[in-house]
Amino acid sequence: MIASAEIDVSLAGVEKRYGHVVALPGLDLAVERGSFFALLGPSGCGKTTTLRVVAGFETVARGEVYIRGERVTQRPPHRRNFGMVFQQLALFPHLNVADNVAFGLRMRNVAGAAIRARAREALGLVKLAGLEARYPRELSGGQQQRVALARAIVFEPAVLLLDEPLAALDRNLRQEMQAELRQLQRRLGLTTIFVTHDQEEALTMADVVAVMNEGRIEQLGSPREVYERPRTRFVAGFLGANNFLTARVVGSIGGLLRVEAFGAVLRVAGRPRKDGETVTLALRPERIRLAPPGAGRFTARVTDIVFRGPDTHVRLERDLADFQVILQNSGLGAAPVHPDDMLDLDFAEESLVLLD
Amino acid sequence: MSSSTEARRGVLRLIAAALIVPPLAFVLVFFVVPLVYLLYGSFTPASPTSLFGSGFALTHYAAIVGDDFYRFVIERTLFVATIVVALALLLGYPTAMLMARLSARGRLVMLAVMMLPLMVSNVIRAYGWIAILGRRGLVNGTLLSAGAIEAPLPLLFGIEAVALGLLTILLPYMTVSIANTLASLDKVYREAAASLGAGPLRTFIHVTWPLSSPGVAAGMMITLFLMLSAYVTVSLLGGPRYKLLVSMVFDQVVAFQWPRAAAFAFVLLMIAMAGGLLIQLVLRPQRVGGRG
Repeated sequence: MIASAEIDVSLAGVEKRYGHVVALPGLDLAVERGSFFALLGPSGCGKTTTLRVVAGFETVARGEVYIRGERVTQRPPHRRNFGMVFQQLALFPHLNVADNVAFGLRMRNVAGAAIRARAREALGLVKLAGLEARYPRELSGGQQQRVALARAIVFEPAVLLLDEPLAALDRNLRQEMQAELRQLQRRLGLTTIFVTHDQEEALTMADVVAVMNEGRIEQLGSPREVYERPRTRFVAGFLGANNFLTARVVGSIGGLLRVEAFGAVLRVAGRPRKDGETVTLALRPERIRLAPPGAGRFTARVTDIVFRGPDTHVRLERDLADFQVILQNSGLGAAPVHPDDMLDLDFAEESLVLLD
Repeated sequence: MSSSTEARRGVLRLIAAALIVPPLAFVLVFFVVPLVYLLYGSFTPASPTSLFGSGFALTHYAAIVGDDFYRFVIERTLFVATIVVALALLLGYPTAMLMARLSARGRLVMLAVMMLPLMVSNVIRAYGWIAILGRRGLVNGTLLSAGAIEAPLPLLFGIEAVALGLLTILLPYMTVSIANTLASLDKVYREAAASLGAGPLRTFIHVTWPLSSPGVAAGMMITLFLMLSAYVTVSLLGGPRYKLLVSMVFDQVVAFQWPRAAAFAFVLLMIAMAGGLLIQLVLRPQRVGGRG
């Protein structure tokens, strides 16, 4: 595959092994210029390995790596022109903030006056102006984060690589940094590859999400696509709690499949299947309403109720299948729910996703 | 913070303080007191009947500063110390880099192998070098019988033999000290440097070297202090004429010149402290503290 002009980073058939363990069995990937690309998956899925292959910290057994259309597969990391924020940040403890940020410029032999100006500008971008003389140990976690970011973008790299950079921060600070990082990335139009195991983080920040499992990309798409239209059970399960319905195909009508579950006949979109085949459907907990018996799709018994403030999680059971329902506590006078109530699950057929 | 945890902290601090008392008392009685006594002694006149004479005398320090031979010995001591510490660093650092790359188990094996020679007494080791480097030693014997030389080379009794003898003792200390720092240094710093465009050489100069400065400083100081106080190796391999400051202390002691011996001991101590300070000032290992 030859990288076209709009593609900043691409991998073609990249294979990576650790001894006998295959980490990446043959990965293809293309990241468009200016996009915020998230590699999402559980630990051990190969997302960090993929990032390190782009950086050149890992050599590949087969395949090619391109940055801005140049083949860099055999090039050492320091000649690949990327910026990176590491999970451990790795700020140089013996250098102050200004020297940490200036490091990449010095290594590129930028003139002294320009170094100072650009370092100051980068620190301004991350709102750290005035802290030039501080040492990393004298900064808070959030400030260290910003220094690491400034250090990685100051030399205007072809691509910014982020390896779970927000994992060490507490929840509030993390959300603040997510928003800021996103803003900065948009403003600078910086092509960014972001590794995370946090689905919420990937969905809120990325333009494109690649959900990875066992070294392969299971699904690639916009956050809305992968969230609302998961293709596999793995993607549906990894992107938030999902309910899974086992159903039987009973026919088709007008391009839609007719399937039967718990006595209810439902219509779902999907490729044609044989009659009698068993299929799995995904259904988001927040897409289900509870209705009096007979008023919904099928009946189940309430087993557990957890009040969580803005919403209430209700667990129901039917024929050994568990269902999770999220009810918004909007104060609109929904009938109270009690354990062992028999209630109907009600949902729109469009909310059902047929999985492969 | 509740007052009960405050109180518990207070008790813990008290226990911690109590634990420090015995070693502190030990150091005070067996180190600080004798040292102060020695310092006092170095300012007394010599006495034929007692350890230190009575009264105050600056004569020993004046003699050390004024005597050409003494000054020469001090200069030579500084010279040999510089050479030995520099060589130990030069040879120790690459070895330490190799060692740091091994697995924890491999490092332990290498450590044991390096420490093995240290289990032999310094006296025996020095005689070993004499057997190798002496007039009829292994090297000269081989060269003579091969016809490469006509007369034995003067390998012993000079800075070469002394430096060689000291290095074989001191190198493991330097290497282990640096290797420990390098092994605990996260490779992410080197990766960060590479991500910023630094090749291997610049990564070493700007990142690895400064971050290893605590180990380098510790290694250099251990090497310096051990070197300055090494007596057996210096006197056996340096011979009766190649004297360093320790030899002067010893010579004065066997001549029962206790106050002058004390003065030499203090000059040696001052040199060691100045050397240690210089190492700290140049390497500034404290700046690496608290990694970001």
